[in-house]
Amino acid sequence: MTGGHNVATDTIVFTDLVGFTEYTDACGDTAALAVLDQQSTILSGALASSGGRLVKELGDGLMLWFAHPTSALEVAVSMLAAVERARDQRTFPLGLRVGMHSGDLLARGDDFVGQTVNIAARVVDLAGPAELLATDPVVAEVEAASFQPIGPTRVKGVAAPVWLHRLQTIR
Amino acid sequence: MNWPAATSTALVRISTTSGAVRVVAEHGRSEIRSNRELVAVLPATIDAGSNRVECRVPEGTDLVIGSTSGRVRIEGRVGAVSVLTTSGRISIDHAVTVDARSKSGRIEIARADGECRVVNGSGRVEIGRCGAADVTSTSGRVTIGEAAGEVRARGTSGRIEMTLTGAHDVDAETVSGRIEVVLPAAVRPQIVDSATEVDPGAGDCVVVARSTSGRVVVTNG
Repeated sequence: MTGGHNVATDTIVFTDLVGFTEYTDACGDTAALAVLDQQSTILSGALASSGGRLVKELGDGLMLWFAHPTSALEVAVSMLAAVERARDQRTFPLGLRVGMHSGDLLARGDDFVGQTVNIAARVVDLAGPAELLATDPVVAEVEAASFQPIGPTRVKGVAAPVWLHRLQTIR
Repeated sequence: MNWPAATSTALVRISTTSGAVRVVAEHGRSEIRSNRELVAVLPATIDAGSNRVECRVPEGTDLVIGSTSGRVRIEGRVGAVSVLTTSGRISIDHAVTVDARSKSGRIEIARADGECRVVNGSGRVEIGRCGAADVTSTSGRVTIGEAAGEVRARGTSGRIEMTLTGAHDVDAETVSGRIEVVLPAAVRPQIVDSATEVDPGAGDCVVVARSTSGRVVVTNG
């Protein structure tokens, strides 16, 4: 316990719909809302029985919490696959991208704060559609997947470079 | 930390904040030097902070480079290269494969023998020659001079232009930007838009071109 808050080593996942702002501009608020509803349905299916939870929605982005990176990866991959299936069937217009990081978290009500959250939020910015990027602590913990290093990035307030990896395959 | 095995002679990882990175791959060189110092342990990791890095490596060396605002310049022929910047400009002469990402830095790749994967925010992307390509750009303009393999291009509002050297499949999608695909004169593509389905065997290659409000133009050069 620190200052009345629970401290734990967990995994935070951020997702983002690529081009959502432009899609809203082109297609209107009603169509954009339908996309968010569909994303919520996809998330619910992927999250079921994973032990993780939705922390909050950030516009078209999602912040998710998991106790272990393996379950975080499974849910993220399930979401990516569901979105790609829907895109192949032309029932979902945008690509999904995912970033994840593991580390110490401070709980603040239902939310979490700290550098782990800050880093995870930055990771997703460098992913392309249908891609999952993860940091060293995730790669070190997840044995059932192979990753390709794509380089170090800097996060404000973090002295050391944060190395990013692209998910290649899941065994 | 699980690093993949180097696929060529060596793996060099370089990290800077604002410091520029210059890597020169030289034919016949056997050792690696960073700012003239011999790098004895491989794979090598160079964390230079805000300092400039000039690295001389053997041809075919694999590289993983990251910089916040420093320019990254790779000269000569290298192996598999991954470069990540926030705003730093990236330029690569010749690599076997490329993974280049930036939030706003311009990306120039003269030649990639194999797959070229690019993710960019607002910076311009120019690829001279490549094998397969997978390019995503939010608002920056993307130009692929010659693609000798399948191309997947995702744009939001930036213009994407590509020329293919053969009957390769294309999957091009944009929200509001324009996409232009130029195929060789003899190639007869099956063009699939948002309203049609792929008909296997109906053309020499399949060009999937989807746009919400932008234009997708497919022509024979």
